[in-house]
Amino acid sequence: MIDTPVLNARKPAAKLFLVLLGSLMLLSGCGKSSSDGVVENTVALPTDDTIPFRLECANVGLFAEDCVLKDANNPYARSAITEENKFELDADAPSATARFYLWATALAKGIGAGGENQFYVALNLHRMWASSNSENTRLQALRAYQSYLDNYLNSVTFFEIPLESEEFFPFSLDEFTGQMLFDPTDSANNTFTSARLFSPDPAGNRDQASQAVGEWGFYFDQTTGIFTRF
Amino acid sequence: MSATEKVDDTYDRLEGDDIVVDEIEFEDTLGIKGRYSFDVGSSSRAYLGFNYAGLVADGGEDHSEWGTELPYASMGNKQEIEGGLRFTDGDYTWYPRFLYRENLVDANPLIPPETGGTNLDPGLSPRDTDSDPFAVLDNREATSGELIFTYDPTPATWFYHWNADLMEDAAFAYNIGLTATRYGSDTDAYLFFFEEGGTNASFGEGLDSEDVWLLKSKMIFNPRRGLKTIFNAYAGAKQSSGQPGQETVEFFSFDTKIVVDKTHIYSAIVRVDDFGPYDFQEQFNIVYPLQLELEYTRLLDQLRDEQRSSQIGVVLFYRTLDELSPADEYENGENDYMFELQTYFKVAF
Repeated sequence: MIDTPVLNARKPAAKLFLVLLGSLMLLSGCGKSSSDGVVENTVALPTDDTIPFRLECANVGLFAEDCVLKDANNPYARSAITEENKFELDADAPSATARFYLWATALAKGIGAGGENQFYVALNLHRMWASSNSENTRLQALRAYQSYLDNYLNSVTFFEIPLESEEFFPFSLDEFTGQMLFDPTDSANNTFTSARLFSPDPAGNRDQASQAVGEWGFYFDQTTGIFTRF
Repeated sequence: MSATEKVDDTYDRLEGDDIVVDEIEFEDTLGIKGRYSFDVGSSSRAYLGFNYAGLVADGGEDHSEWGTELPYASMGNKQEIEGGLRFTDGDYTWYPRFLYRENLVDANPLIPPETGGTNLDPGLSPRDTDSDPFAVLDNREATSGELIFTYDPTPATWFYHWNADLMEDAAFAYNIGLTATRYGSDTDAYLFFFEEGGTNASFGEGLDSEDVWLLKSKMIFNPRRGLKTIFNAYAGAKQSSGQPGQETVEFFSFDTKIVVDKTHIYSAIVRVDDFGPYDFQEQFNIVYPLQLELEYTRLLDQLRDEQRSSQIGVVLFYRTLDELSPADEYENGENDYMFELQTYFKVAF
């Protein structure tokens, strides 16, 4: 008869010791060394909007594209942007380029209302073009406004009026988009931009905007400020 | 080795007060696990195992057996030890087990960014599996203990076999198990499907550290030929699987299924203070005070197999509602309950 417990008595102890030793080595010796990596407590924000914008990918800053998160120039890529702090960061940003990265990051990460994120991406590309006169930036701004219409029509944003009053009022982003495309002006309520994307001539700009919007599949009533999809 | 495509991907972590940006290296794709099982006396068997998995060494699901509810995780970024001792005495089995897990890199806390002039203190956000090469989620730090007691007088039809509900032939077999787990640290952020954006989005913050437990039992009765009853009961405390800042749900539920002459199936499910049945309801901490489901099914053809037979049946769903239920169902107290009655005829080919 084979006495199994006696036959196995020595081997298990040795193997058990090895497993225990392995476990202890793992628990004590592994993990990331504090010498790994680079300390990055501060990053510089872009300040110069006259530098032509380099597209990280063709659809950067547009709905359902998150390549901006891989853009080495994006200072906000790893930031803890939240619905609560994104307007504060916007107010403190030193340039339209910084604001573009902020809103594009919020859009790519799905932080807060997507329509708001998409509109401000478009607006800041618009502002960047106004400073740099880069055709690529102008075309990307138009694509971002189109993306707003395609994906976020009927969205709103909120303004605190007066500032620091904690009273917020909704404003139609459709109206703002129409304004930026057809007749961009700074107003009492906003300080967007007055640069015309299509033509320096106001009437010519409106005509060309109307054609472009039509090609995108929309009609904009400049009296009511309402976009209609067809 | 796993996820070598993530080598050179960057991630951040907190070390003291510093935010450190690092890259995934080849060694972070490696993992190793070992397990040694051995007899203890003539009727007991013990095991001891370890598992080291680099930051992105997602090794897939563990093989869970003997009804364990230990919090195994398929993701990397962990070092684990586990062990257990299974005593068998005739028809009875006791199986105490433990699992201890640490992370190689902890979850990121939420540190808001701040702008100072032309510089940004970027802060830190909890990672997620879309934006970062890895995240601390189900693989979070855990200390877990478990005891499962099993009575199975007919081991030829193993109680833990995948289709034991059908195969178990003992007049009465059952188990009772208690698993208690301390999640000692917060997680990174889980993802949910953001319908408006047509993409996954992060919850933004992780789950808090928490103690959870689960008491469960399964009973199978075969009182006579042609009559089978399966009964499962669960009670415990569990966390949402996504939404941060929610209270732990203390729940109770049971379900039973009675099969008569391989023709008539009566089933009932009762859940008290439990998540709804869908994944997203657990993600968003959607809880119903009471969920009730009663069903009768008649198998129609000669196979008498629930999976293959054509069936007719009737099922009643009933739920009560409160503040933790979906807002569009509760309607600020306008609705106390909802129910639905379905009849069906399924044709199986």
